This record gives sequence, structure tokens and C-alpha cells, in this order.
Amino acid sequence: MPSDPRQPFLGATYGRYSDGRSALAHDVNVSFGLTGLQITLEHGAPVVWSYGSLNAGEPLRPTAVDVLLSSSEAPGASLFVPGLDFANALSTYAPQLTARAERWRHTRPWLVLVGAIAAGIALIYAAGWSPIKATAGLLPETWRERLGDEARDSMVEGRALCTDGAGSTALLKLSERMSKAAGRDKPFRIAVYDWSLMNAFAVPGGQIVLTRGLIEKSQSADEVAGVIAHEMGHGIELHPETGIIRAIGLSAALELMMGGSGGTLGNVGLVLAQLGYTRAAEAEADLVAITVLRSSGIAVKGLGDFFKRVADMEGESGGLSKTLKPFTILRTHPPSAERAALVRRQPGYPATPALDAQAWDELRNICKTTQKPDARSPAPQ
Amino acid sequence: MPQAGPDQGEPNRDVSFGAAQAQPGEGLSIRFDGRGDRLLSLGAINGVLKLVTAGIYSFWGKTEVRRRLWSFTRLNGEPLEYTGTGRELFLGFLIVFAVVVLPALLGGFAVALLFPGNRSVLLGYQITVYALFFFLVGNAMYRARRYRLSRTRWRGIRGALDGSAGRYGWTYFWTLALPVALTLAVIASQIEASMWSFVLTLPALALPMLLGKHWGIVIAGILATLWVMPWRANLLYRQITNDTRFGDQALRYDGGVAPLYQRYLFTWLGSTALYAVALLGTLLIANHYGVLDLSPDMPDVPPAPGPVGEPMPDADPNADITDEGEPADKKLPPAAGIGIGALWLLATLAVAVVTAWYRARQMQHFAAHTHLGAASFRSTVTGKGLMWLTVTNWLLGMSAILMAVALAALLMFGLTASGTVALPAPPDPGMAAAPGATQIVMTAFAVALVVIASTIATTFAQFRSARYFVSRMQLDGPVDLAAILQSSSHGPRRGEGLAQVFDLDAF
Repeated sequence: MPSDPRQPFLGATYGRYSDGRSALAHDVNVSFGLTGLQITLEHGAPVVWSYGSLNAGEPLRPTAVDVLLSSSEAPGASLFVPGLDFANALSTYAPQLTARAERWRHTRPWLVLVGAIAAGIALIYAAGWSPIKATAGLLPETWRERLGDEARDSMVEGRALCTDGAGSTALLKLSERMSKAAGRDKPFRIAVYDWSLMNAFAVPGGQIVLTRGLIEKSQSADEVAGVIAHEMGHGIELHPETGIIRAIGLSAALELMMGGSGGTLGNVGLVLAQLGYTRAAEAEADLVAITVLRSSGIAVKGLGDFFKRVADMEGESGGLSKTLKPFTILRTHPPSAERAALVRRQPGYPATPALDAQAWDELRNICKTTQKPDARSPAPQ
Repeated sequence: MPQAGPDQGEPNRDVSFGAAQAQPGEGLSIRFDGRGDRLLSLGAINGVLKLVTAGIYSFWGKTEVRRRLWSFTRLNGEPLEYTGTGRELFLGFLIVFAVVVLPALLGGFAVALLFPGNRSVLLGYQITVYALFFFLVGNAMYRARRYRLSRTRWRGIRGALDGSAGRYGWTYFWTLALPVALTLAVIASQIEASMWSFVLTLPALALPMLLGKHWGIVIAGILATLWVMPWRANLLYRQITNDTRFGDQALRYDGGVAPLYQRYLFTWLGSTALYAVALLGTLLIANHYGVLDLSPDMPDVPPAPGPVGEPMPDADPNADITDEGEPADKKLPPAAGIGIGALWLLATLAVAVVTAWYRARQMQHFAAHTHLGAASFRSTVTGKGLMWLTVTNWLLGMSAILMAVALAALLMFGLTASGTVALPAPPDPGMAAAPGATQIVMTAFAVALVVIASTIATTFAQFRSARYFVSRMQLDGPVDLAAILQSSSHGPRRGEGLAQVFDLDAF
């Protein structure tokens, strides 16, 4: 073994050379020259393949026992050289053939690209700009409303719409009051569905859904107004639309990452149902809710009472609905208590009730009359 | 003769090589000469690089694996050479993604927007897209084979596939679509009107449902569809083999169908039985989870996010049912979906095992009737060997993924239990609280482990399959190497994008 890798390999070695015109091969001698491999056929002058022009059939590994070489200077020809000494020596003369060099060569441009993209994303978020939210804002109003309708339908799952006339009027008045205070010329559309679960959510396109359960369990119109204000907060900040675009973007990105084998986008309805919010979004909605309530002249106490009641309910059941019970160990603190505290800290201001006693009563009875979703006839007034 | 020998500084010339100047009409030995010990590191490296480049490196990783497997394959001691590049695969994939996949995705989105809530239209669109993809699968397979052959060289001589991808794709399509369509038509004629709405909401359960009521027809349909398989396989093999070239020499296939059917009975009946059992199992699982009827213990429909960000504690679990009667739209709860998925995974494995003996026989038959000039191939694969290969590869994949998932779960649990990280409510479809930063990191970590594990497992599986098939292939008879000339065609410029997108990789 030569100790200095730059020393020429002692002697020549046996190789098999094919000219690439037919499947015949010829025995040849191969040796390491100064600038390239020297290949000596039986008759004729030696052919030199420069080291830089070499290509290996397989990236050169330390454990290689033979090498299959070709050269860009001799297209179509190939040289097969058995022997691990030759393979070892070759890696010092033509290091670009080693596996490590090859992998790095192919990885480097993509690392740079991915790094640049990651840096770009980090910069964008550091600057506080949300491109996803900007994209969401670009969606035309009609598209957003359609998306919202489909999201709403897939979430209420065929439950009936509460359509009692007096109740609907009361709700509409409340919505107009608060929407105007929030600076929206087109009021939020609020609907109540015949669903015993206590819930409320905002969907794209300025629509809010409340459940019968929520209204039944609320103790004042101010509480309901507080919930509505919170959902308006989501709607004003475009959280539903942003969530959808983010979900779609993630799906498409995942598909690209899996090399196209990550499965198709799947049920669009399922994507639309992924209207979960980050903690930041919830906090943002809370702040907007407080502003809306103040501008509408409705006391924030209602919202605070609502959070307090939910915190109590969470405390009862260990902080989670029964579906999430197995994960109890992962919870560290109930968020609702925090948010109740935030509301309590707000300074007071002159306020009138969200609805007068009669209107509140009418709202509570809004589900006296209902309309099933597939019924095309107008609801009885 | 040029001098070359041990005293020329070459200590270990492998004497198993045939002489370079093979006499006209000498045999060509086929050997698989490689060990799998380095594949673990290759798989791991490929997995890691795939992750840090957001998946883009996978094309180059795949190329390196192929180069290694090709160089393990030796004809007369000299290796095959794979001359494809990662860039070719990457470009091919990009093109197909832009031209086929993206329009399909956007189309689905557009349909959902334009016909909101209309399930039938969405279903119709999805069926059309799947039918189109199915139409293209054969085409994609042919193109993939053509790309790989054109990038394979031995002593500089290229391989090639000289035929029409469209023709092969069409054959692939109609020979399967026709029996399936006929079967479905017969079955559809048996579906009562009341069941149609159910079929539209849960199409995956239509067949199992019918199995319950008209099992004779369903079984007959499966039998009929599976009956044409040997004939179809023979037809497709003949088409693609007669198109295959080594240099300017064509392969020739002259096998008939009868010998295949002589060994098909057990496989035919066995596969039918397994598919019927899988359908029955699907039916039972769906029934157990209450999807099919209105049993009172129907699971909670996942509630939407509320103002507090989490689903409200629901005091009355049966409130949904007792208040309103029947929910209008049925959905498959996640647990049922997982159960059914696992069932079909096992069924596929079982079918692979049951058909192993027939597949070995088919491979032997195909090889024996494939000729290169005056020489013929011979395959010595056995049913038992195939079965063993399938099962072990499958176990390899499963255990790798399970280990990765277990590891990730352990880490997650450890970190959260020790209080290091606070975890908000875990995301579920339809549930509240989209993942916060912590959860994204956790999920990303788990995904990373799974990607690396599955890359390693896949690399190993490819190696084992290649080793098994190649080492049991011989070429009997004289081959005139001097008469095999280089062909002038260079094959496709870019890689097998369609096959990439459909994930049709054997190697």
C-alpha cells in the first residue's frame, strides 16, 4: 500500500474494456497516470481517461471490490476493473466518484433552498405579517360565504334550524347592533340550530352558528352577546378562512413531501371541519370581543360569567369532555379561568342590556319552530 | 493475448469471470453478488436527507439504491449499470404533478365550492378521477419499465422498450375494467331503492352490505373477476416482453395460457374466500360501530370548536338521538375506519401468501418461454420461497413503522409527563384547538422517525426481493455477444413521473 496517496499505483492491473458498439469485451491493462487512467489494449496506443471525466456505475464505497467505469470523453465505452486495491486507490485520484461526494453534491442545492425558504418564513412571522391571512383576505366574498355554508352544514350534520319568528327578530336586532359597532356594514348572519350541545362557532363568510344548548344554558342575554362577540372576533380576524387555507396548504405540502404518495386531499368537507384555532387566535378573538362589546355598549361581565361557568364545568369533569378523558394526564391548567380573569380586569363603561327582558325571552324560545335542512318551503312565521 | 495476472500487482483476480472473449454461443451466467450489510446505513442516510430537504432528495436516494442493486446484478461477473439520475426522476415527477395531480386536486376543491354540500356530485367527481387514474396505471407501468430499461447498460449496451405505452395501458385497463364493470352492473341491479342513499353516503360499505343480503351474487362476481387473471397476466407479459430489447436484440415470448390454468384452482378459490371474508369483516365492524342502524349506543358525533376552544362537557351523551330522532348523515367513526383498514391490510397479506405458489408457477412458465436469440430463461423460484419473501418483507415494514411510532410516543409521553411541555387538547377531526407550536414539533418528530424507519425498511425489502429473483434466474443456451449491437434509440428524456405519482415502484 503506498503511504502517500499521490504516488502512482504500482504497476498495472487487469481490466475488461467494451467499446459499447457490441457486447464483446477485451482484456486490457489499466494503470493510474498523472492526469487520468491509462488503458492499454492489445493493439494500439494507450487510451487516457482523465480523472475528472470519470463516471462510476455505482458510487465508490470503501468496501467496493470492483469498479465499473465510463468516461464522458468516450461515450458508450465501459471499463470493468476487479480488485479492491484499485477501487481504493481510485477514490483518491477521482474523489468525486465516492458515495459521500455524490450525496453531498445532490443534497447541497436543496439544503440551500430549504434553508432559504425556512429563513424567509421565519422572517415573515417575525415581522408579524401572516401571508396566509393575507391570502384569506383575497378570497372573494361569495366564495367565503359558500365555504362558510358548506362548513356549517358539515358541522351541524342535518340538524334543524331554529326559526321562531320573534326569536329570529330579536337575534337579528342584536346582530345588527353588534355588527355596526364592530364596523361591519353587512351584519353577521347568526343562526341557531336545534342541538343540545352547548356550542358556538364561526365559519367563513361572516356567519356564526349558535346551538340551542348554548342559549338554554346561558343565564342572560349578555352572556349570549359575549359569546357572539367572541365569534365575531374570529370572523373579523378571518380565522376560519385562514385555518382552511392553512389546512389545504399543509395537505398539499405533505403530498409533495411524500413524493406524491401521501394520498389524495380526501374529503373536502373533512378539511373544512378542521376549524380549530390556535391559542393565539383564541386570545385575539377574546380581545376583539371585548372591543366589540364595549363599542356596542354591552357589559363584558356576560362574557366573563360565561367563561367562569365553563371553567366550573371543566373543573367538575376533570377539565375535559369524556372523549378526551384518557389524555387528562397531559393537561396542565384550565384555560377558561385565565380568560375569565382577563375579562374581569377590564375597566367598566356605561352599558345597556344586550336584549330587553321580552326579547331575551323570545330568543330563548327561538327553537319553538324549526326547519329541517332539506325542507324547501319557508318556515312558518 | 494481453498480459494480466497475479504478478502484475493485482492480488485477487476473481477467477469466476468468464473469459472476455466468449466463444460465439457461450452461456451468459446471471448472478446476484451483493450483501445487505451496508443497506441499513444507506437507508438511514436517505431517510435523513429526505427529511432535511423536505422530501426532494428522495429522487436521488432512490437512484443511489438502484445503482447499488444494479451493480449487484452480474452477467458473466460484470455488473449491470444504472445510468439514470435523480434529476430525471425529479423533473418527471414535477411535470406529472403539475399536469395531472394538481388539476385533480383543484378540480375537487372547485367542485366542492360550486356544489356545496352535494354529496353525489362530489362522489361522482371522485369516481371519475379514480377511473382516470386507473386508466393511466398501465400506461405508467410501461413508461416506468421503459425508463429503467433505457437507463440499464451492460458492457455499455443499453436496454430498451420498443412499443406503445398507450396500447399497453389500454390492455391493462380493459382486461380488468370489463369484468369488474360487468360484476358491478349485475350487483347494482340488485340494490334496492332504499339502499341507494346509503350507498351514496358510504360507498365503501355498499359491497359488504350486499354480501349480507345477496352473498351469492357478490361471490360469483369476485369469482368471475379473478378467473380472468391468468389470461390477463399472460397477455400483458407477452406484450411487454416482445417489446423488450437488449441492444438491438429483441426478447421473444411464446408461452400459452393453458399451463397457467392447470395450477390456478386453489389460488382462485382461496383468494375469493379471503376477499369474501374481508368484506364480511368490514360489514361486521361497521355494524358494531352502529353505522348501519340506529342502535342507542351510537358514539358521539365529534362536536365543533366552541367559544372556549374545546368541546363543551356534555352531560347527556344520548341527547343527540333522543332529542332529534335519526341523524341525517352517517359517518364512519375513526375507530371503525382503522379497524377496517387493518382488516384489509391483513387480507392483502393473506392473499399474497395464498397466491404465492401459483405466482411462482407463473414466473417459471413466463421465464421458460422467454427467449433471447437461441437462449431461454429459467426461473427456479418456489411457492414457499415467494411466500416467505412476502411475509418477511411485510413484517419488516410493519415492525419498522411500529417501532418508530412507539419511540415517538414514548418520547412525547416522557416530555409531557415530566411537565417540560404543556400539551393542549390533541387535535381530532372536527374537534377544537388546532395544534399549537409544541404539538406541531411533536408530530413532526414522530413523522420524521416514521419516514426514516420506512425508508430503511423499503430499501431492505427491495434488496431482498432483487436478491431472491435474480439469484434464481438463469439463461440457458448460447448467446452470441458479438452479434448484440448497440441500439440507436436513447429512450425517454425524463423519468417515470406518472409512476412516481402513482407510487408504482418495484425497485
